[in-house]
Parts: sequence; C-alpha cells; structure tokens
Amino acid sequence: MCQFKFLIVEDELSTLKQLEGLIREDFPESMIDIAATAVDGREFLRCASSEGRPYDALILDFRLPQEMGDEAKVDTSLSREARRSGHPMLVAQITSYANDQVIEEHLQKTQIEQPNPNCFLVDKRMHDWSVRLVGKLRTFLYGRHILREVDELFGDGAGFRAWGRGRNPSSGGLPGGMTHRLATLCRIAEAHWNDLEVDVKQRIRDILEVDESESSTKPKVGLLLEDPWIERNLSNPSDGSP
Amino acid sequence: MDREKFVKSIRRLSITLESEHFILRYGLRNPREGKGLGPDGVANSVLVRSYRNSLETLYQTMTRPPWNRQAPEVGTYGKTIVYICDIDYPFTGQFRAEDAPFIALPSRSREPTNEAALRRAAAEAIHEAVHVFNYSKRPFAEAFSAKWQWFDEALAIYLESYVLPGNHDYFRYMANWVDWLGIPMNDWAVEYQACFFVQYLGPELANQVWMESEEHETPLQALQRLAPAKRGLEFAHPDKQDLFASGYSMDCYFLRDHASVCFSPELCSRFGDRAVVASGSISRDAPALIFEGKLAHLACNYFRVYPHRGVDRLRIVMRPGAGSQTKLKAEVAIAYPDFHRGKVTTLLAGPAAHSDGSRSAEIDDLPSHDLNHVVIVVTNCHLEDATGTYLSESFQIEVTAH
Repeated sequence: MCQFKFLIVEDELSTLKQLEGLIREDFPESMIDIAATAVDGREFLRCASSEGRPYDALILDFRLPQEMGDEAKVDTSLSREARRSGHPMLVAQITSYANDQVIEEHLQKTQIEQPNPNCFLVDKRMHDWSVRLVGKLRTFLYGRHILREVDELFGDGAGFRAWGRGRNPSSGGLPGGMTHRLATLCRIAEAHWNDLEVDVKQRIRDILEVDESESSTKPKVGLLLEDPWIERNLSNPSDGSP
Repeated sequence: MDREKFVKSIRRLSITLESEHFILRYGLRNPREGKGLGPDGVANSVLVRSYRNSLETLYQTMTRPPWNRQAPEVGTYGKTIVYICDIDYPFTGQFRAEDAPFIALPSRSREPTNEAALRRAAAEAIHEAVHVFNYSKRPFAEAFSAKWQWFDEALAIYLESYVLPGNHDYFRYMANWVDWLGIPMNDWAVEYQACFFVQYLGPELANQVWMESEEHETPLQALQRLAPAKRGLEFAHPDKQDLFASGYSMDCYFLRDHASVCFSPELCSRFGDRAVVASGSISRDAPALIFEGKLAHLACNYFRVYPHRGVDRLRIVMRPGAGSQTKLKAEVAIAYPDFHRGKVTTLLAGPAAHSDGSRSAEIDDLPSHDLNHVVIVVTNCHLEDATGTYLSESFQIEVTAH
C-alpha cells in the first residue's frame, strides 16, 4: 500500500466532494487536506513544507477566492508556492474556463518560462476529466514511488546489501526489512503496470524480472521468476541437480 | 544490489545439501579443487549445516501443535530452495512464476566471534523460514498482505526465541524498544520489536490471529474479533480489562518480574529498564506532581512516582485531552524493590455528569516498607477508525499525596 499526501484547494463544495471521493477511491491509504481559499491553501503548503512532510500532489481550482467571501479569481499563487518549495509534486489545475484569457496567458508563460512537466491543466468541460485526472495522478505517484524504492533497494551501496533483517529502524530511511520491501515493490509494479510511463517500466525491467507473456493480464514482476538452476540444469543435466 | 550479480552468484553455487524439506545451494570459498567462490562461498560447511538444522527445527515446530501449519508452498523441486551467497542480510523472496517462496541467506558473517556468527545464522534461518510458512496464508503478491507486514515480522522474531530459547540474537533490535517512548505497537518502524507483543499473546492466539484472520481483516481487526472469543478479553479497551493496555503494556514494564509473561531479565541486564517519560518524588500534603504528555494510538507511556516516608495515600487523576470521548486508559501499579509488581489499580471515570472524561484512583494501601515506587501506565486504546485514521491524544496526570 502507498500512502500519498494530497492537498485539494476548491471553493465549490460539489466539486470538492467529487475530487475527495475520487482520491479516496483510488488512493485509499492517502492523507487528504482540504482548503477552500488561496490563503488557506498557501498556509497548508507552508506548514507541510516546514514539517518536512510535503504534499505529493496538489489539486487546485484555477479560480479561487483569496479569503472566504471574496470573489473567485484566477489564482496562480499556489502553483508558484509549490514550485518555490522545491519538492517534486504533481500540480493539477482544474478549470471550467480553459479559454479564459488570464488562464491562457498564465499557461503560456509557465510553459515557456518555467516548463514544468509535473504541472497540467484539467479542463472540466471534457466529459472524462476525472478519468484523465486520476490517470495522471496514478502515473506520476506510483511511478515516482517505484523509482524511489528501486533506487533505495538497488542503487549504489543500497538496501539490498545493507538492510534486511539486520536493518536498524532508527537509522532513517523507509521502514521495513528487505523481504517485505522487495515484495511491496513487485506488488505495486504489477498492480500499476498499465499506469506507468515507458521509462519507469524499463527501469523495472533493468532491475527485476518481468513476465509480460500474458499480455491481457497484469505482468508478473519479481527478483526471480523461477530458480535459475532450472535453466542451468536444462542446459547441463548432469550438473548437480537434486 | 545488483540483481545480475545476485543471479550470477546463485548460478555459481555448485554444491547442494538436501534435507527433508529444504534444498540448500552453496559453494566453497576455498574448495580443494577448482575455482574458489570468494565472498559467495562459505568458509566450510559448518554454517550450511547450522542453517539446515535451524530450518528443519522450525519446520518441525510449525507443523506441530500449537502451530499446526500446513507444509509451505514449494516450487518445481517439491522443497523450499535456500541460496547461500554474498548478501549482507537474509531475505525471503518468491519465484513469481511458481508463486513459491525461496530463502536467501548470507555466506559469511561480520559477527566478531564464531559463536556469535553461528547464533545469528541460526536465528536468521528460523526467521526467514517463518516467512515461508506465513506466505501460504498471505502471499506477497496479494495487495492486502502489506497490512500484515508488521505482524509477519513480529512473528518471525518471536519464533527465533521460541524455537531457540537462550539465543538472544534478536536483542540487537531491542534497544529501541527499551529506549523509545510511546511508539505505536503496529508502527512499521518497530515491527521487529512487536515480537514482545506476540510473546504476550502467546503462540496459540498469535497463530490464530494469522491463520484464522479473514481475507480483508487487518491484524488489529483480527485481534479485536478473536481476543474476546479466545481469551475472554477485549483487545484494547479504555474501560475494561484488555490485552493491550492492562495486559501487554503493564506487563512490559515489569520485565524482571517472574510473573510477567514478558519476563526478560537478560534484556534488562543488557539495556536497562524500559524508558519512563518522567519521574517525581512527593511528600505528604506537598504540591501536586503534574505530568503532561501526548500519546499515539496503541502506544503507552510510563511515569514513576516515589512517595516519601509518611505518605499513606496517593490520589491520581488523569485528564484526557479528548474529554469524554477519550480512548486513554491509566493504571497504577506498585513496584517493589526487586521490581516485581504489586497491586494494580485502574483509574476510573467519575459519574456520567463528569463530562471532562477525567479518571481517578485513590491508592490508600501503600506498603510502608517494601515500596520502591509507583508506576502510572498510560495507554491509548484508540484503533484505526472507519476512515483509516489513527488518533493521538494529549493528557495531564496529577498526583497528590496524603
């Protein structure tokens, strides 16, 4: 299971409930903070950053009141705040006014001046906007989680040699011994294979064995798909097999 | 880790030692003939035989009462494969094509003495073989297995000492359990340390929790369901005798008391007594001692009170931050000079009109001579709620002496 941290900033109650429901359904273990104004949203961002527990994803209404009672206007302060924090997080900006001149200008400006592949627009006028949103979230969040785990477990001088039963929980890093961390990595890779970007899939193939022979179903991912001795004994039957 | 190196290492293991239920693949660092395997090879077969003996002992244990486990899942060879090669720490993996577990154990050890190396090897083999047995009920590939990770590790560490009494290799994880304050029992950061909770449950109930749990139950949910039926006690309850607070948390303070299920004088000799949050002495009619704290779910804090001579009676009040909705529990126990436990008193809620949730107790029969101190054990009996949220709660303790 993966625990992600979300911030939703949305002043329209029905949309807020819909977004919260989507996240809870697709990311059931996750923590969700909710704000209705830009000021509250910025405060959540600052607190999370100062506590060292930044958000994994922000879902922002493009038009927000600064404070309760204010008129909702295009707000770009939250995405700027997220960028300033320096933490890699996905920023989904939702709007029903994608043709609004101010929004268009903001998007053009950010794409040209500070392109950010982790920032994208969700046009609520599209009938499948929620599916697209959840799809992007899955791709980004599970992909990043897998790459982090791969680096922690298999990177230079990493966990596979240094952890396992002997790992000292006070030494920092993510919890869990090698047995379950490896199992979790394989399980998440299998479960979310179809959500992952091509380069993430390739990284997994580089590190683990992936059986995609049954293309209609999920692949099987493991450190070993089978005992390497089987292959060895097939090529050399006299070689010490039991 | 370099997976390719791991696979290459496995392929180079040229010797097979087969026992009744395991196939151990290994190689020699310095064979009499041919190429040596360097760090992938064992110095001699003593280590391998130690592994084999421990694996088979665990197998016998798990397939007999009170565990009564079925034979574990096995692959092509009908036995569990064990690789012995150059990994610093062992693990249990799975052959994904066959959905059968395998074990990887180290070919060498950094323990400073041969005795320590063999003790560790024996414990590690037991530990990994427990994962192999547990795998049958909760295969790694199933999403819900993640919820059982901490209980799987706790069982594996517990069985090290159950199968090998006197082998204290698991003490290497226990310093944190002794020193840290108020860590939730099911926190993944202390999954090895939860072995003491499993010890408190005992083998029957611990095994029933694993084996009789329903597919989508968490360990805590299984405990809530099974504890009343199997033990006649709630698992964790602020107002009733329960396993977690009145049982385990209290018991684990008195590690030097023979009557404690978690009796472990060697652990105390090695690391000292469990950490207390605060201590204070108090005289008759002196100003009250005040302790404050905040406690995560399924965690406990200890406070010590040293009554001066002439104190006949203590009054202890706990004021929980959550008021009448509190899930906190406080119990007071007499600790004698040899650290065995005396009378235990539970702080009780006042009449219903008392809406602040405070609980209190009068300890009016303090031993006049043999008393060492009084320990106040505060526990948070909150379990995961419907939204999957765990709650922390603050509290204040007031102690007055008369």
